[in-house]
Amino acid sequence: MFYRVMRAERYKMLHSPVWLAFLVLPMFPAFFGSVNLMNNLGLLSLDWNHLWTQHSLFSSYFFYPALVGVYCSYLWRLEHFDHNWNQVLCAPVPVSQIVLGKLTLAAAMTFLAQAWGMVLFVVGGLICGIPISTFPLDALSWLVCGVCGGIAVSAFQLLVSLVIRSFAVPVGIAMAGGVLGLGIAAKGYGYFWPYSLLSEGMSANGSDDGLSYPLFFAACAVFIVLFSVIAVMYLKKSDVKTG
Amino acid sequence: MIPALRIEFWKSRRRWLWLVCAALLAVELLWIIWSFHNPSERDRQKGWLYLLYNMPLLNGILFPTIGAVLASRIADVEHKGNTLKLLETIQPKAQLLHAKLVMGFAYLLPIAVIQVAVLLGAGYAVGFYGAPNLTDYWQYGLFTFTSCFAVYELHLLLSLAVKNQMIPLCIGLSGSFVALLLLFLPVGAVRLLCGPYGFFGALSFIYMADWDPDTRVFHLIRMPTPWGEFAVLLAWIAVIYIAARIVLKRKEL
Repeated sequence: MFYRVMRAERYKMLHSPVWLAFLVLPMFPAFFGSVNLMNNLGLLSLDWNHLWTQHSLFSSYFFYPALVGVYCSYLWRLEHFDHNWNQVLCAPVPVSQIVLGKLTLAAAMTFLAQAWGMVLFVVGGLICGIPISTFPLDALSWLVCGVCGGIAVSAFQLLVSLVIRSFAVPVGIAMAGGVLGLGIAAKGYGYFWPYSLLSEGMSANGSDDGLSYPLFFAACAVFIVLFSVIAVMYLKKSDVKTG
Repeated sequence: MIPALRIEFWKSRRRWLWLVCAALLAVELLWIIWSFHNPSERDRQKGWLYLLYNMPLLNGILFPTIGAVLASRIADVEHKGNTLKLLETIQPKAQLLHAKLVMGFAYLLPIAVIQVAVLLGAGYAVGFYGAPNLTDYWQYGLFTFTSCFAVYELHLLLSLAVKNQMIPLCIGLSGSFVALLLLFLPVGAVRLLCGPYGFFGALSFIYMADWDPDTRVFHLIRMPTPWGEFAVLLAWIAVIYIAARIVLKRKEL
C-alpha cells in the first residue's frame, strides 16, 4: 500500500519545478557565507569550521525553515485545490499512509537540500583556498543532525500546511519559527523547539558545543512522531473543506 | 473603483492578513527586547541611532519573504477560485490591479507607522539618553514603507502572473538573501539595479564607522538623507507598475 501511495505522490510531483528551488536557493547562503568569510579574515580564520559558521548561520535560522515550509505547502497544495480532498479521503488508503508518504517525500527533499548544501560548502571552501586535507569529520555530524532536525521541522510544517489551506501562511510561520528558534536556542531550550533542533543540529555559528546527541535524536523522534500523529488524527476527526 | 476595493476587502475577510504583518512586527519587537534587555551605558547613548542602523537589516532579511506571503495571500484567492475569468468580464484588468495595490498599501502603511511607534516606544522604555531626532524617524518610516511597497508590488505581479505560488515565494526567499548580500556592497549602480530588495539598505542613512574589532567600539554617523536613492526606488515602483499592467494585459486566462 505504501509503495502505491509513494507512486501517487511521485506522480503529483511530476514536472514540478520544486527541484529548481532546492537547487538554486542553497547557493545564496553558500555564496554569501564564503564572501563573508573572506571579508572578515581579521576576525575569522581561513578554515572549514569558520567557513561552516558563515554558511550555516543565516541558512539554518532563516533559509532552510522557509524552504522546508515552501515544500510542505506544495505537498498539500493539490489536495487543498477544488474538491480533491473528497477524492483523497474516498480512496481506500489509510490516512496514516498519506501522511507518511508526504513525510517521506519531505524527508527525502530535506536530505537532498542538506547534501547539496554540503557540496556547496566544500566547493566554497576550495574556492576560498582551504586545503581539503583539513576537512573536518564533524561535517558528517552536521549533515546527519541537520537532516534529522530538518525532518522534525518538516513534520511540523506538514501539520501546519494540512490545517491551514493557504500556501503562503505556513511559509511565514516557518520563517517566524526559524527566527524564534534563534532566541529559544540562545536561552538553552533548543530541544523543545523543532526549528532550534535544525540550527543546533547544523551547528549554526558553532552552536553544537555541548549538544547531547541522545537528547537531540530523541527530541527529533518525539517531534516527528508527535506531529505526524496529530496530522493523522486531524485527518481522521475533522471534516474536510473543499472548493 | 470603490466597489472593486470593497470587494477586495470582503475577499480578505477572515484571511488573517494582518497576522502576517503582525508577525514581522513581533519578530522585530522580540529582537529589540533581546538586544536591549540589559542595556549598557554605551547602548543608552547610541540607542536612538543604533535602532535606525539595525532595523533596515532586519527589514531587508524579513520583508521580502513576508511581502511575498502577503502578496500571495491577496492574489492566490483569484487562482484558487478561478475568478480572474469572471472578474475580467465585468471590470478592467487595471482596476483589479489597482484594488490589490491599494489593499497592500492599506496593510503596509500601518506596518511602517506602528514600527516607528514601536521603535520610539522601545527607546523611551529602555531609557535611551536624549530625545530622538523625529525627522530621522519619519524619514525612516517613509523609506521603510516605500521599500516594502515596492517589494509587495513586485510580488503581487509575480503572484498574479504565475498560478504556482511556490515560484513567487521562492523568489521572495531569494530576495531576502539578495537584500542581505546587497547590504554589504557599496551603494552604487549594481545595488540599485538589483530590484527593490536592495533599498532597505540603500536608504539607510546611519553608517557604522571606526569599528575596533578588539574593543568592539564603533561610532554611528548620520549621513545625508539618500533622496537620490529614494528617487531610484520610486522609478522602480513605476517600472514594476508598468510591467504589471503589460503582463496582466497579455495574460491568458
